[in-house]
Amino acid sequence: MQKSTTVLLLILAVIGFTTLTATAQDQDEASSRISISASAQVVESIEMITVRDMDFSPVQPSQQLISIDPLSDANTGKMIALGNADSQIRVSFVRERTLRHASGSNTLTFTYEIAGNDEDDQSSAEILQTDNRDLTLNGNGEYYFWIGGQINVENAKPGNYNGNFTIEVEYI
Amino acid sequence: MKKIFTFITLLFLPVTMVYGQTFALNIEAPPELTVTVLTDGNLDYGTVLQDQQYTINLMDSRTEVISIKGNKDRDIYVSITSQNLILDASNIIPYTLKASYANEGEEDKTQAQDNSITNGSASFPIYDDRGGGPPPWAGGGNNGGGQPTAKAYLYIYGDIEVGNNRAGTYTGTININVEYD
Repeated sequence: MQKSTTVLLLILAVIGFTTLTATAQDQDEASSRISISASAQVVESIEMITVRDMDFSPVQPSQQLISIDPLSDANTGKMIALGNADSQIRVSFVRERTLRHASGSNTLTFTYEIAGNDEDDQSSAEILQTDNRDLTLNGNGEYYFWIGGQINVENAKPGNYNGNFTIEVEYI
Repeated sequence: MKKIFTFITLLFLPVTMVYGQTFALNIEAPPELTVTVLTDGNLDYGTVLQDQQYTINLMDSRTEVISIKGNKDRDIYVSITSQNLILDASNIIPYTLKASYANEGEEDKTQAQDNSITNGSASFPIYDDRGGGPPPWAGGGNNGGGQPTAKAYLYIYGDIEVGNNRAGTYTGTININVEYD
């Protein structure tokens, strides 16, 4: 009888040990943990500052073509883009714009030419195409634009002509 | 002599029983839960501007996708904790976690219900045979001759609200814990 009890206790002990081992294994394998990250690159909004507007001197009747060279003419418009230092930007604009006579339906077409530079130096600026993706703000977060272009006034009626120029600058 | 025989019997009998009982119990642990990030592991909002709110929704290609492989007949409990995106102690972007799961056996966002993991946790079966078709078992149909496995999928996305934060790269951590329910 004593022998049977001993054997039974041993069996129970073995079962208990095996069960405990299985439970521990179950807990180890029954959960899993993993981590991912979230991120965002905050940039400050780009501001455009107009330093000066284009200056057309009074046009004489004998003139046929008015031209403002963006690389050399002192009458160019000048603008500065301000944003995050060393950030890449995309610049786009519409090359041709219509100017309307202030008191009539007559129009003129202005063809823009723009030069850009990350230094405040007009003479070393580069002529920009209508969509530029490889421009970079300088270490102070600045990029300079000089706006010029051409307009044919050969058949224009006298009077004032007004129009807008839009340049779009955004971070890449 | 009788005492010696009894002693020898007691000495060897438990050893025999240990082996016998170990095999006879046939206790089978559930298949290990395997959690795998299928995407790049970074919920990337990219370049953001100040004072704007940005959303990555369920169907967005930037949503993070995670697979969970386990016993196809078991429920699992998923808990997700997240931090805000931080540049430094005074520059924090609040992040609102959103998450969904798909448990019809395929990595398919259209099978996930938007925001089905509410408040960062949910319990659901690894495999829900709503389609009624043959189950697409993961790992070749079984677990080495043991219990069949299946895969469920998690989708992690959400919103951030950028205030007048200083420019820079903000990061946070999202922890995902999965266990059998």
